[in-house]
Amino acid sequence: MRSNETDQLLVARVQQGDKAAFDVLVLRYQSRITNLISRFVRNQNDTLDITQEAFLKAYRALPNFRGDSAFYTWLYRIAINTAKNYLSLQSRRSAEVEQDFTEIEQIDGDNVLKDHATPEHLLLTDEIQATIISTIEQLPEDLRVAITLREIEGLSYEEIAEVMECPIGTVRSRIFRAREAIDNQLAPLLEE
Amino acid sequence: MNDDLKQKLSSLMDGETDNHAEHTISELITSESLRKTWRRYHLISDALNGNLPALLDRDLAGTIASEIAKEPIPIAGYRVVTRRFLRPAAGLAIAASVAAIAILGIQQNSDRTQERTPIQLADTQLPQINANISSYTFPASSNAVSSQIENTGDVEPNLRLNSYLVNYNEIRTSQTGVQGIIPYVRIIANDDDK
Repeated sequence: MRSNETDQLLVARVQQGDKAAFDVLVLRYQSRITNLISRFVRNQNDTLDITQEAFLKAYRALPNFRGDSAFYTWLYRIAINTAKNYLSLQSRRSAEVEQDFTEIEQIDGDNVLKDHATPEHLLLTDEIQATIISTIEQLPEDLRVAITLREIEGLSYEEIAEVMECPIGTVRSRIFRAREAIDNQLAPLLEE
Repeated sequence: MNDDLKQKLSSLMDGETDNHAEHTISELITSESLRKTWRRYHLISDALNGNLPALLDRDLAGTIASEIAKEPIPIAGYRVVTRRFLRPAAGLAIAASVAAIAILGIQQNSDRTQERTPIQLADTQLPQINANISSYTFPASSNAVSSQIENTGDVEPNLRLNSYLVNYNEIRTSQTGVQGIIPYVRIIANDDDK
């Protein structure tokens, strides 16, 4: 089983009426999609709004998702199209209203998006990134190697077991312990 | 939260869950604490892969969930069901209803001293097709028809309905030259036989 099969199970649950399963998918991909959209859109608040819109579009389109591609690939395309539509709309508005930025900011279209300018909603990820890297560097070697082979090299547990010459169960345990060690540093940062 | 469950969560994230994926997902869906752990595990992964944006919205998932709560439930493959299943199922129901009416009409013109049911009449008066159909469960739409023939004694309702509809469809096919529902029914039956 691979991670896209986890997605398939979650998608199947959503398609059977379990909306909470979609929340699990959002938690899984929100950072990646936000990061993707931020490459198209400079304004951070707009990025978050468009990310929301992309997920909503994905949810509405789920009955049409048949698993021909991986869920993330499908979601990725929706996110890009949503960002492009935004940019297209923005360029049209810029052409129509030259310097009236106030009017542009007031236009909400048919979105049901919220204003994310409230600082407490937002997290600067520099510190998150630094904490994670720092914690990994301090991990015991077997945990560091296991998590690196999994996360960065993308090896399966079976492949990691072959590389590290240990049972798959040991690989599973090492990856989990590595994540837990990092998580113990990360959770206080996120106030969770 | 026990470590065993979190370890399963870690494995689920990598798609390496063996046989407990569904159980772990059920736990994940119902536990806010476990969902927070899931989120942080993915933050770790995104950080290591350069997928973290400059800004993260702490409440993004919650906001999306609030909006989705207002949305209708997306029904899996609704269009597919309509094309592949509901139409033949509706066709089955219509075909069965029409056949029932036809058979009852035949019965009225037959010897009225014979106390045979419509399905028994169908067995004797219509061509018998050895369709090799096992107990295929028809959708609810055909229950109205099956309820008309349920009190015929020894034969299983589904098998009776199967042969009933097969026979009708064979007649229809021979009359119109058009294959309708039979190919679909045969496929399902053959799958059941495997």
